[in-house]
Amino acid sequence: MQEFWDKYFLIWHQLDLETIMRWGWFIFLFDIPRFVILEGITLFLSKIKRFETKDLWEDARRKLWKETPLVTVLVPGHNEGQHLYKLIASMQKQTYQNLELIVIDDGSIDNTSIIGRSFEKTGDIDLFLRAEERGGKASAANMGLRYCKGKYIVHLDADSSLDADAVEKILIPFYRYKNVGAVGGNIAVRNEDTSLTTTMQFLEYLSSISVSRVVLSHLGIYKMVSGAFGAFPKDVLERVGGWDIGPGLDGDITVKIRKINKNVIFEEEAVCNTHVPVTWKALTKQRLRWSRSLIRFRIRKHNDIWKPDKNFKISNFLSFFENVFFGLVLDFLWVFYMFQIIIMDPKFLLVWFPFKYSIYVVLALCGFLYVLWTNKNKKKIMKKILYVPLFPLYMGYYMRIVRTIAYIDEFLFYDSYKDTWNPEKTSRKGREYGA
Amino acid sequence: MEDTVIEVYSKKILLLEQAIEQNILPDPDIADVWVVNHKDQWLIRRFLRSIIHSKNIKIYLKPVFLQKEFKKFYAEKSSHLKHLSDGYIKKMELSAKLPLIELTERFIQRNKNKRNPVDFITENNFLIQKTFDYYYTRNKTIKPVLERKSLTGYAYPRIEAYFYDKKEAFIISRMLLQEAYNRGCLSRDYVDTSYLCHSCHSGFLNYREICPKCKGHNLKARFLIHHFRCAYVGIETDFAYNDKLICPKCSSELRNLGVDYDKPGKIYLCQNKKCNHDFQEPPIGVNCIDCKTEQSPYELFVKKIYEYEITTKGIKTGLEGSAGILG
Repeated sequence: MQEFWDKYFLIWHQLDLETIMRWGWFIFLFDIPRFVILEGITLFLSKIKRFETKDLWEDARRKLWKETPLVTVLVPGHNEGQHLYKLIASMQKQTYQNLELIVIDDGSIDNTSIIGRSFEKTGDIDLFLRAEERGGKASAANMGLRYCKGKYIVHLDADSSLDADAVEKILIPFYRYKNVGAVGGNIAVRNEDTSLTTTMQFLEYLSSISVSRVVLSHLGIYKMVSGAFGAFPKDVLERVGGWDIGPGLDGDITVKIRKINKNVIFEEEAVCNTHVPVTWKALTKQRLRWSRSLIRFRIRKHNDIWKPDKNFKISNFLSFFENVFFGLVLDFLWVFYMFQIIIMDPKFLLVWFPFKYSIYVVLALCGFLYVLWTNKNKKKIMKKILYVPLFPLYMGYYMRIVRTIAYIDEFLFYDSYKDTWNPEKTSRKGREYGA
Repeated sequence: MEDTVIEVYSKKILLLEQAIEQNILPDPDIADVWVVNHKDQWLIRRFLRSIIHSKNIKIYLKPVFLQKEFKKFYAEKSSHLKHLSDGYIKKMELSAKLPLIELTERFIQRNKNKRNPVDFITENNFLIQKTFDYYYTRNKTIKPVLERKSLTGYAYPRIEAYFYDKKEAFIISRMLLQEAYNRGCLSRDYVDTSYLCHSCHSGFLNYREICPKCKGHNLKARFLIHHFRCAYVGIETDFAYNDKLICPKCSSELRNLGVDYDKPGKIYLCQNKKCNHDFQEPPIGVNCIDCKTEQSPYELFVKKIYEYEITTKGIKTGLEGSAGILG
């Protein structure tokens, strides 16, 4: 043991400032300023603002209840029948009850339609729509949009379960702020004890959703309303023509809403609990899909955001820039440096890796503190503190590798246009018009 | 004027003409067999029913035949005439019917003193006896026939003819048969199942798709269209523009089904202005033509239809006459 620590401290002595800056400038230039300083300060400011405007929030809540508009809960899904019972139970315990529940069965090949129809008969589902042929998630959501009657639409995944006040909480921002085009809900992992994979995702969601999105929203560059839980005014959805072909349709619709000069807000108090992939294989598949959509939508489809023409908006530009820079540019830089070290001086890795890892563990602990600070259920989160040292490996290596593969793949092969997540008939049209 | 009596195979045949016209039952003793010699099916029907209603065993068991030569005058669907009589004969050819005629004669001779209506406790008991007498002498099973004019669509014509009211005919005839079956006097074979109005037992029902919300039945069914390129989904009228299909979301034209778009389903609109509900699976509503009761299919009265046959026990009981029926 003694020997281990001796060796470890020796590493620190071997590194001088010049070497550290040569290989790790992005840590000090980007990672620490962004994830520690900027995030900390903004989080603090947003909490203060929230506290100071308590009365305004209370007013907004009262306005909502005074109007009590009909709200459509829109749940598109494929083979999701097994989750419907829980979904309905979670709807029935909502504090906000002027709801219309619409479930869209996108060509399920299991017994979803039987389950759904029987809930429609009992009145637990207000409208159950079924497409006999699978058309993809976007078309299912659009079918629901065509037939919904609510003033606001809450978009949900069938396997998500909402906290009792979640619908009420996600509606309040529409009355708190003007010109709101979308409100994203907070997503928490509910199967965090199932496997190491889910535990790591539990920590990831806490830091990259609960914390990061509060920060982005406060800075006005929040750009990703999760499909799992988001709310939109119906007229805004109709103006942007509803959803377009995915994968990544939830990010895409948020951009479309931003483009018509509507604000997009993150509401951390509206909590949706969701199931995340249990195995590394399933998680990898999911993240490859998500990452490809960054290229597809941010770089290709919405490339006008980057152009300084008359529709240019600095906040839209920054939100894209943040996304692409931290997601794409730094990833490639990381890969580039990895290869450089391996080729030039593989032995240096033995020194460099422990050093970098130590710093990222400190950063992860810092992030963990922010998470603890902003969340109410501290006990549940504290239980997972022992997993924090694994977090840099998860985010820094696993996620980076997956993302990089996805980016290269999408750049070169346009694989998102072939994803079986969509039926071939729509993918073909996506390739024809999108690629 | 009296009806003519002729003789064939040493059997006296009464040609029914005036009797049918005036609906007067002739003296049963002047002839062994009666043959309908009339063209009007309604008058014949009235007359045949009078025979069945008769309480005189010599009349209600009298072999009565129709003539094939007149068949063309009876409407196609009036099979009831056949069921209320002993069927058709051609050119007064009786040879095939002789066993029946003689068996009946002997049966009447043996039992004519045991068929006094006042000996039977209830009218129904007498009806059972008459039914037995008929089917026993004719050696026939009690067959249900499809009959549009009956209450349920199925009828036991000879039994239902005892009654004047359609509903009474249905209820009491089924009750009599059921009772005889329960006592072991009849055996039965399954024929069919019918769904009847739960309030009046009518089988004349109107089935139609209804709105699950307001129960209205003025519905409009339309196809959903999914435009692949932009993922818009709507009904045909969303796309209709000058004889073309133009997508309301992306303004491009939909040309080929299966390539540009498909029709993933149907959707119904309730055209009741106060409702206007959209839905995909309309429940079925049933309306009774006779009593106008609105009901759902699972509320309908389910009735099984059987063909009955007299059992050995039934024969024994039936032959005992009033004494047997009492037990």
